[in-house]
Amino acid sequence: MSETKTILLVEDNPDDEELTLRALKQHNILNEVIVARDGAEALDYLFGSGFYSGNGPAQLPELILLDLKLPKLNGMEVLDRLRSETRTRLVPVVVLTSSSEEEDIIGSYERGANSYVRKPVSFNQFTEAVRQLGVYWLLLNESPLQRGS
Amino acid sequence: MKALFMTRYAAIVAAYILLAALWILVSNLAISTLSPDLAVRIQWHVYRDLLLVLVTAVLLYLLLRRDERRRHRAETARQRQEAAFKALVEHAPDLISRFDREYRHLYVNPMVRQITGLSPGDLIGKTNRELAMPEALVVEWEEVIEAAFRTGQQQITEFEFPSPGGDRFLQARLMPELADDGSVVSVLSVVRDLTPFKQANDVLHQWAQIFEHARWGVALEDARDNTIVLYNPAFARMHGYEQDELIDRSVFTLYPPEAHEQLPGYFERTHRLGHFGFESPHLRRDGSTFPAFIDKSTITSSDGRVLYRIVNVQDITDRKQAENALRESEERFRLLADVAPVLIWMSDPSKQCTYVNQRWLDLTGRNLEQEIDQGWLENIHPDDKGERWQVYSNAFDARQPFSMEYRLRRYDGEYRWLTDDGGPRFTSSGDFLGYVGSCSDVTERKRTEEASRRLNELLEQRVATRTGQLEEANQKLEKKVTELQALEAELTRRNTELEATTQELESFAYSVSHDLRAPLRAIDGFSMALIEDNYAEISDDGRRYLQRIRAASQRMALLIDDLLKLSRVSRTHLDVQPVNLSHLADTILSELQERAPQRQVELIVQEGLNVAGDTRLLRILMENLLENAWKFSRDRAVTCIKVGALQEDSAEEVYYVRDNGVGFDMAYADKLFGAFQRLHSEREFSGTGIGLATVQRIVHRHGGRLWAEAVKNEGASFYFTLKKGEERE
Repeated sequence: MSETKTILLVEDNPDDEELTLRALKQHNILNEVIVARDGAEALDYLFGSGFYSGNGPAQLPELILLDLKLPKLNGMEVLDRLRSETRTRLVPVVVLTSSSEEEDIIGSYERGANSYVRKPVSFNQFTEAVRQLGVYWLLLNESPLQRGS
Repeated sequence: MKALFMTRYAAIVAAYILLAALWILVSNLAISTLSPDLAVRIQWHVYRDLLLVLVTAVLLYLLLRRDERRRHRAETARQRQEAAFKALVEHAPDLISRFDREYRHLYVNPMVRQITGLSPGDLIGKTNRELAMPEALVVEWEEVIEAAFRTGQQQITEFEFPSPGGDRFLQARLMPELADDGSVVSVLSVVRDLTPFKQANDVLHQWAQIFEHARWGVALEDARDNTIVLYNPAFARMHGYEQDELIDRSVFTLYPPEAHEQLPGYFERTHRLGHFGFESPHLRRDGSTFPAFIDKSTITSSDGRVLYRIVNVQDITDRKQAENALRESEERFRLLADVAPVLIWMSDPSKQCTYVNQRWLDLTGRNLEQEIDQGWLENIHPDDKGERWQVYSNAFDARQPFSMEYRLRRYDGEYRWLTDDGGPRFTSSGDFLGYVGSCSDVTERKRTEEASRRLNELLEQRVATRTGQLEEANQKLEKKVTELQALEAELTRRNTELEATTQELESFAYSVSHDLRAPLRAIDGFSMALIEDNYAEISDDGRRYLQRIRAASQRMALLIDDLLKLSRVSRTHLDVQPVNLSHLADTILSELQERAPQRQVELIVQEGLNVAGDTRLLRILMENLLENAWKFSRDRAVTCIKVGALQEDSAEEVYYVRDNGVGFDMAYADKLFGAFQRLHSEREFSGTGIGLATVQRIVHRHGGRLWAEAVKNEGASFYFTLKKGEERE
């Protein structure tokens, strides 16, 4: 299970990255987590370009946790790319961000985000949110990918 | 006759035989007694016989002579008669002819020349067919002649014959002439020319028709005894009598008694003049009367005596009614004209005035005789007279309506202005009758117009003066406006700058708010990690400090969120729509109640608070106010929150949110709406101090006002207004 179902975390803030990983671990979500520190890196990983060019296209992750405020390419631009490619069109993407601005929420959903979660400041609430995400997207949700391939 | 003759002759012969025989017997007896001697007796017998012969011879002679004389007389008479007959036939006014069995003319009298143009010699021995008479005539004649031959009866036929002098109407009588054996040997024809009778008869017949069918009653009266001789059906109908019923009745029968007295006079005049007409009521058989026009003319004898009167009677009921109607109509017109509030006049086709109404006479103080013809012109103002007469006259000649004004002298000498409208009058058949017109006294109107004109002039003058002043002021004003426009341009420029600055500030606030949250999350998260991972190594105080760090970071996150909300209020575009404030308040209050179901509350929300505003912002506004009310009244046994609108007459609605909470000191009321301003310690009531600042911004964005009233420990009231329907950025 853990070998096949990976999670791609796109997060530039190392604090948030570590806290996210910690929260996942605390709730026994043991899937492999690949971390991309900016939008470009995330796309490189998914399409086997740039830093990942030697590897060829990677196996698609089961879930992508995407921050919006990112260096180079921001989260919206990453979403646009993902949804325009046939291969990545159906990958579940959960936007995980500090912003609760209406335009960010609507913009994300318009670009094909499957879910939008605001990172709470309280770590207790944060781990709870991560736990629910994991349970929902990795266990409960029927992914279109397995059926498609 | 023959038989009679025969009888006479037989009687004479018988008498002779009787006398002769008696003589012989008596003489024989006497002779026998005279002498016994035979010889003597024979002698005597001879004498006697000789005497008989002598007497017989004398008688014979006398007889023969008488017959001869008779025959001679008869022959003479016959000859005379024949000559007379011939003369008669030859000179008869009729055409006389005789036909034989083959329809040939045996005899024709000279009259034939007049009818056919042929002489008798041309006809004799010929048939009509041979004479080339018209075929129809030939056939008809042959039939008639044949009928006379066959039946032995007289035949009569009438026919038209094309004579050289024109068609003649002829009547023929055909008489069969019989032989001794009763057979018809010839037919005698007598043709009479009836043309003159026929023509006279036709004329008579036509007259009779006219008489019979005349619509007027026509009668003939005997002038000598005043009786009715003859009358036509119209006359009978008119009077309700049967035909012939009135004949020989007195003329007076037809007149009601009150008219009788007049009649002899009328008759006398008729006789004297030969013709006379008069109107009189006529009496019907049933006693009713009708108005009649009676026309009588006389028929006189050759010596001049009046024999008859021809009478024409016309029922003039309709005419009388029409006359009455006309009279009434005229009376009505005069009455109307006299009571009308205007002056009315009429003129005849020669432009002469024929009538003015009483109102006119009242005005001029003159009588009708003075006004008619050209009299009315005398009172027209001398300055108006010529020209106005021309207007009237020109319109009159063109048969056009006209309208004019002139001055007419009143009875007191004052001239009054009249407006006169006239138009042509026509009969229903289009004959021109003249003009009719009406005038109104417009003196007062004229005066008003004059006054008005003067006033206008005055006003125009004033307006001109004032306009000059205004123009001067206007120029000054324009200069000021130019200055103001320059100022406004400057203001716009500054405003743009300000907007840019505000924009910058707000995007700054936005990104700072975002970026501030990440470190807070780290502080809280790692503090938590520390507590969880190194619980045993940290002292109680250390753990407490870490908890304080976490609390502080969460409070800061709250502050940042509120700041974001505040900045969002300013940044959001205002979308004004109808909003039900009551509904909004109910929703928020029920959410609050769900969060603290244990609290005793009395919530009163006035229904139907309908406003115009941005739904989202108004929701934030109400959330802040109601959350405050909820928060500051939490220590009351029964929380009482009221939402409503003030019942005031002012143009704007004032809405309020009222609680029975701790209230505040009115001395600090001015600090209430500043950002981060708090009137209660964090220890007493949690809060960031940004809520009311947000409320104020929302109210201001809606163009309204916000204020608060409070009594410490008794409660607070927040009032706000919203400018309806107008978007404010």
